Amino acid sequence: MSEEKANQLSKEEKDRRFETELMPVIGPLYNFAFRLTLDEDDANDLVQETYLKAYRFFDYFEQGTNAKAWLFRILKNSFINDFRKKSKQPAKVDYNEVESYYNTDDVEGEGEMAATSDMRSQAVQELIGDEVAGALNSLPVDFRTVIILCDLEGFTYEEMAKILDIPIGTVRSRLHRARNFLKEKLEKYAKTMGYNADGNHDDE
Amino acid sequence: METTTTTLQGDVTAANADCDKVISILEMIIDEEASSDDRSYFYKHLEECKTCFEAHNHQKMLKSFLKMNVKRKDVPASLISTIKSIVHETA
Repeated sequence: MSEEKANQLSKEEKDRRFETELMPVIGPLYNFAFRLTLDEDDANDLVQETYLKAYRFFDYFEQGTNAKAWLFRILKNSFINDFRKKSKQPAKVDYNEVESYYNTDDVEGEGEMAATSDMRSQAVQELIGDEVAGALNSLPVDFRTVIILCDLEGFTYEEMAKILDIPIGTVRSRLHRARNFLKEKLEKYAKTMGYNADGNHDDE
Repeated sequence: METTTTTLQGDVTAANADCDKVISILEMIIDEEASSDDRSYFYKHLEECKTCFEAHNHQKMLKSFLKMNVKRKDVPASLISTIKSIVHETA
């Protein structure tokens, strides 16, 4: 099987480059897969499938170009073509439970809030995290996708257009609608805590 | 602040047209996709307009709020090793 042409990589060289160029993206890629499928096992399968496809087509990947966008595109296509059909229930996150638990807290008012201990504010942080994830997960998948790509992964509009196979104008309008959806769902935070709970340092 | 409000009231129509344009590019500004001309136009307007100033803050906060609060999951170590071993065995 090792009949190599001059311009083709040896198996060793190919594997080495595959690992150095593509494996570092696995964190964002796994999170993308999880946010799409909302299931850890499905995310596992999807990421594995993505890397195997990437390996098969690695000759088409130009070294030094945008590995992250390339892998995200493969994953998104796998999700649409193969995965949606065979995937299980959509949402496993029990959003309602989190919500009702959190709402019972509201009654205690701001005095209680101000007196938060570290442990308590950490618990609040976690609840916010769960609820924000719940809000995000409840969006239709196309809307969820643009929020993930833009706001969580920091892709440019142009990269998103390539990943999703849609014009930049569509990227913009989809983002706009997705954000309006989210704003509605997260509106109570704007009122009760401000969008920034100030528990963490700003990264800007 | 008081003085700028007065100036704005003196020229309501112009201010509204500006606001429309500013709001239409707001998300591009937040996403760092706006041209430098648009950016300077945008920030100049924010100095004069409290409504747009707040709209900008609100939009910006939504973005950082999401980034801060959507927890990232750790990749299972077994996934990484599985991928590597399948790849190595692939001819």
